[in-house]
Amino acid sequence: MNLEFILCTLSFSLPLFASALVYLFGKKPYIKEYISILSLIISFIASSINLNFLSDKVFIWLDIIYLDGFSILMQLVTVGTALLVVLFSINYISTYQHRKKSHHLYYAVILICTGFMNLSFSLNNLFFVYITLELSSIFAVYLISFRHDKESFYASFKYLVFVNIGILFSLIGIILFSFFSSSLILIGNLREKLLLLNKDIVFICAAFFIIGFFTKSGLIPFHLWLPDTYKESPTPITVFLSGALTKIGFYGLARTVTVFSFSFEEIRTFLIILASISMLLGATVAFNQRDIKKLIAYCSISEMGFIAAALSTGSYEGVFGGVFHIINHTLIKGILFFSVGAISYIDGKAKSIITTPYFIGAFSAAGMPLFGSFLSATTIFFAMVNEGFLLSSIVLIVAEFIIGISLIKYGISEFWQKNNLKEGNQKIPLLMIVPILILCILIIVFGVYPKVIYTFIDIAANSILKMKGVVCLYLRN
Amino acid sequence: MNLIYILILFFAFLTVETKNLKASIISLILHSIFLTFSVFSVGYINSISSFYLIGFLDLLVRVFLIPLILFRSLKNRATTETKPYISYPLSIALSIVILSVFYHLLEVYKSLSLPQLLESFSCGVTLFIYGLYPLISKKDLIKIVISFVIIENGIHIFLISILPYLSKFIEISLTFNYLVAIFFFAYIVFKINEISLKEELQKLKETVYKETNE
Repeated sequence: MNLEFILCTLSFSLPLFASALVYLFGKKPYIKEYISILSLIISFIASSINLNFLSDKVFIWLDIIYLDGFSILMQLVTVGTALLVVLFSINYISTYQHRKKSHHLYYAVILICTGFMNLSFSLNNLFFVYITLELSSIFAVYLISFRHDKESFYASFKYLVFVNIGILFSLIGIILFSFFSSSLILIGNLREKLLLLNKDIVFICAAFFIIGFFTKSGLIPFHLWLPDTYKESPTPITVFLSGALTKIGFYGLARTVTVFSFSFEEIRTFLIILASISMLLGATVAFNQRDIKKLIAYCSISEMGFIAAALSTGSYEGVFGGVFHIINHTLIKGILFFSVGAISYIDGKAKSIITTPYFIGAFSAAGMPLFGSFLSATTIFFAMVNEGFLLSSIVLIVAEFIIGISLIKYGISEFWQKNNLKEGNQKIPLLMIVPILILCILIIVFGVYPKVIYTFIDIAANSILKMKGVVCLYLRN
Repeated sequence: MNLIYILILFFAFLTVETKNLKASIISLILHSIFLTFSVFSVGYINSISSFYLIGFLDLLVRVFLIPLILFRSLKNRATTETKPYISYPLSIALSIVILSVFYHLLEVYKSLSLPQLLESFSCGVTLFIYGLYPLISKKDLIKIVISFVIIENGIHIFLISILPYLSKFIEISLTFNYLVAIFFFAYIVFKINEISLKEELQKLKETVYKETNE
């Protein structure tokens, strides 16, 4: 076994192993937190080293593992999100005293979901990608219903029904694709099998994949599970869902439908139309929301429309912008939801500490300059204009404007105009502030000095575009 | 073989349309028994020995484990289904139309365009499409879980008819996923029933307390 193989497997095997340890020994004080943080840090370091090792190469092992720059970047996003979620949860979850006996299970399930997601980013066979993807979604139900009240159980039931049945459509897509191409579909051979298929068959498979992965990502019109789930989940879990679990849908889209759209103009146009609907409707519905978590949830749907549109353009700029926005979306939603969680932790008192991070999140969601999202949204905008989707690019700008107004409007009314606020006597713990600060620093660094991240995004974008048969220019400057 | 497929569809219909949830789960058991029987039969007719393993797995999971989990989730609640969105006579009529039209259409399509497929294809696709119907029309949580079971069964039959030589490891993993999903469904339903029962008892206590005070 060489070092490359060990590093590749560490990203998923370690969280899974740590999950078993937390389940068995997590009832003892501090064990669950230490094991979770340690395993996620090692996993993150392993993935980072792997990205440097692999660069623009692909690691394939016996048709089982397929690891390229995009897979590793997705692993880094997932593990990074899980790590911040665990850090934030240490204090936050202590408010759930009625679930004290199950706190170790909470950490164990976060780790098991992270492990399965990383495994799904590493697998080559689409059937196994589906199986691990579904398992990570199913286990998340425990986290969504962790509050153990009627509303959270109903939300998790809705999530389970929609996501499970949605993903089943992608399974049908995989079955049909395998049948008509007379072999198992691997990520590595998808493109060559695709070119042998009849156009109608490709369209049918694409339709099934779109239903499946759009449901998993929570894009309109398959988004019905998302607002309630985000609202009823514990706040760190909302971050985990928006930052990691929905991203797995984009991974599926990038590996299947994006590859289809390289060869079929109709699929590309259809995807961009669907994504534009998500952008506009998500932002419009967000504007009318009174509940902050639902407001951010609809903003999230709208922003995920940007990513779906970008990944469908088929151009280097588009895919680059899409991958960059996947990272920015995770950061923005992390900042906003963590801020909301911190407010709820102190029962709405002493909000001033959270005001700045909230507005950083709101301004970056609006795509303001100096934030990473400005660069990614602008890249997507120009990519769509260059590909001839002028109307969609206008929709993107309008959606960003509405998102910005909605979030800033809520922020002003909540933080500045309510004079009846008392100064709280309860402080926000440092471990809850640290994840928010990390995310704020990252979104600003990516906006001011984007070169630090461009190399990795470039590797990831080229990994997707390799399927097109053309390796694009190395646009690091 | 056609008779077995018609029986599978008939018991799926009974499962969906029976008001009593216990009777509905018993119909589901019969539906699953015939499904398992069809897997064994298809394996025997087409000399695919690996189907025996799948059949055995189906017997264990679909005939025993899933109904058992569903019976457990009936605890703390009435056994009559919550009134659905569509009235019963209309629902029965719609079910018959969906089942018969799709089954016959798919049979014709299969024989004309995809004759190389195993004969269970049309039954699988019909079950999948039919499973989506109670998902939309039923309000009862158990019935929604049952509709998920029917959809899953449909995809299972569809999969084995279209890819009979698929790696058994994939099939076993898919069945495992299915079992985990059903377990979580039952867990949520059980918890919702428990909370609803507590709420109703609380209301009852309050009413009795008010009446005694008056």
